[in-house]
Amino acid sequence: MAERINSISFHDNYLCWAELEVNSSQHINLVRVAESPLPFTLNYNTLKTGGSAGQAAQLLGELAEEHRFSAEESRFLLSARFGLIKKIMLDNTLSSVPLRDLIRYEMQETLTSAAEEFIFYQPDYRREWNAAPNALTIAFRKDVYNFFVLVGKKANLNVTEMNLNCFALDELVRRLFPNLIGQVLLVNFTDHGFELNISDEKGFLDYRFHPYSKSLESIESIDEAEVCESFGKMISSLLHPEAVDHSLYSISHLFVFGAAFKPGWLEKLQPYSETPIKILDPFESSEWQIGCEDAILRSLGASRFVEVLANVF
Amino acid sequence: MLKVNLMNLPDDEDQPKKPEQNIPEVPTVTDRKKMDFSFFDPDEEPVAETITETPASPPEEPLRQEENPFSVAEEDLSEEEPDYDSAFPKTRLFVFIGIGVVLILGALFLIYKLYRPGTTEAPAAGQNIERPASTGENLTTPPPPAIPPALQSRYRQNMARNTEGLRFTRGFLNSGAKNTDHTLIVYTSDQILTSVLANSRDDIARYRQAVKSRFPNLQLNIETVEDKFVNGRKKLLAGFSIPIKPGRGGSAPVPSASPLTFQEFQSQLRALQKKYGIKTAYRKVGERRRERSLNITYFYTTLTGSRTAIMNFLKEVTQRFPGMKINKLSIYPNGATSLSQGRVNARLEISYFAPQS
Repeated sequence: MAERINSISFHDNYLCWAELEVNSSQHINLVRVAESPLPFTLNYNTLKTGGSAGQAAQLLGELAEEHRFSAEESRFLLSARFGLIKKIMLDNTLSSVPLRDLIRYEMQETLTSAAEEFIFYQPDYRREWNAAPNALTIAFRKDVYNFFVLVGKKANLNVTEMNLNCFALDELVRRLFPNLIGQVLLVNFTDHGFELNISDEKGFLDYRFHPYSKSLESIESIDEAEVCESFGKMISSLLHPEAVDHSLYSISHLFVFGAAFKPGWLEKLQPYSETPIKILDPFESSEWQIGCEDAILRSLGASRFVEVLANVF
Repeated sequence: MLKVNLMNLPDDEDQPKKPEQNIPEVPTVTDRKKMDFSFFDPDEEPVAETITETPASPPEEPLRQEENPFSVAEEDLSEEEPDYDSAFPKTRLFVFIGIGVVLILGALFLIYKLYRPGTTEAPAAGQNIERPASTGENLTTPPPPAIPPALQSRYRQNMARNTEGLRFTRGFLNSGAKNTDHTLIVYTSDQILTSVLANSRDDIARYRQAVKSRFPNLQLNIETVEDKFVNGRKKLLAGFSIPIKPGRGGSAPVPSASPLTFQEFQSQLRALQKKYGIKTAYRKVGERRRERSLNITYFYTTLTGSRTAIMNFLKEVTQRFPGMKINKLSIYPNGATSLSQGRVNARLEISYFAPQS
């Protein structure tokens, strides 16, 4: 029997809500989708301001009523920019130091405020890097976490999962295209910059954010040439970073997608990358069948709704 | 694949979690009752060797004892949204007070510099001034600025600690028995950790004897012994921990060169890396903070090079940069199974001390 899920992805000033029908025979049907800018930009100040969660919940309620979203289960997908993701190298024989303390100590060197303001989450991650085991730790501000929990509660949504988009996107690519060998770079065009996901057949490797400009301008306020130039700088900084003498990654596949991405940019971006660039289109998967009955949605292209699709796995 | 669900946060008790619950790949401390330690007699162990270090060094304690950070308090999810405004003005007040204190201290320092006692005045006209006989040296070069006493003390501690750490690391690298190879050597403030690959338990016992003959006062505690397949052959991987007790400060002479800023230290470090043909695999500047009259910058780097180049590089940096304190040094193979083959990685966690400008 098909399972219906509300998949809601949040960025700092935008949300996308999709109702999806998932059945066990590897078939996903995109029933309906709604996109909307948020009534505010999520940042430190708006999180502290009373009423922000209520406004967001009210927007969700209006969208639910207008588009008749009816699924019982809801899953939130948050931009990885809301959290801090870090891989901590461990030493095999540090048995006298409690692992939790070691990770907190390492994270404290990176955090911009006191550790008490964060939740530390350690998923089941098994990777070795440079012959040493790595522990993956996610530091998530308690303010941000409480905000989204409150949004779900006020909107009367049964929120069963809250994930970061970098992990969901990695899962989506590996499920839809399991035959990809080598390192994969996913470039998500968001409003203020590129969200980069790097993974390989063993799993997640890295997440980064690269703004379009130093002043974090919106993509709406910069022209096409600047977007392409910024893309080139992003690729260069990833593959040829200044602080080290050799690249950390060897990218075999490069996919572009996102709500801010325009398919017409594909040819203009290619000169900036030695790796062939493709648009991440879930409809092209041969492992999963992604269906969409809405003609308008199909015309917009599935690359626009990759994040909400990723939330179902 | 990685599945993350922030709605299912782990329950956090007052006791810290067992390490093996979180990272399955990390070897756990094996139950001593089950392991065969017949080649190891703990009754032979003498008192652990001490390393001279002033107890007044900044505490290594990075952790704060606070409430459960992994839980989300249910009372925060009340119907009425919490009022954050009451906390915000206090924070701003403390920031303003802090800025005011810094400005006042800066002004006092400037006044002290301008009007400090003992400044010589220009001689009156016609007065005979007895000048020292010229020795033919160039007297126009100003002497190097004196290093403040607080920094001198810190430099001595750093150099003593770094020298001891390098001595142990080099000593372990050069220690060994037949059919044994190091796979990891870690030096920290209170212990040394090593991992050794051996063909048999007898080889491990011979390794211990070789290390004890070089460092008679060290207490080697064997933590793990497990099977490991290398190139299709079954070997044993043994992990040792060696406790180190901090002692008094060292008496090594402090270099008289003027103190380097952190940026100058970084650029000289890069130049030194080029000299030894060492590449940087990772570089990160961490927290910066002030302590009394010093600026402390935490710095993390992973270097790659031949074993000889890395050790010679470390020897020179410990001699040239007294402002650097090595908090942790890890040496492990780069793409090989042991430290005796191919290139090695050196991972450094450093605190850099510089005078406040």
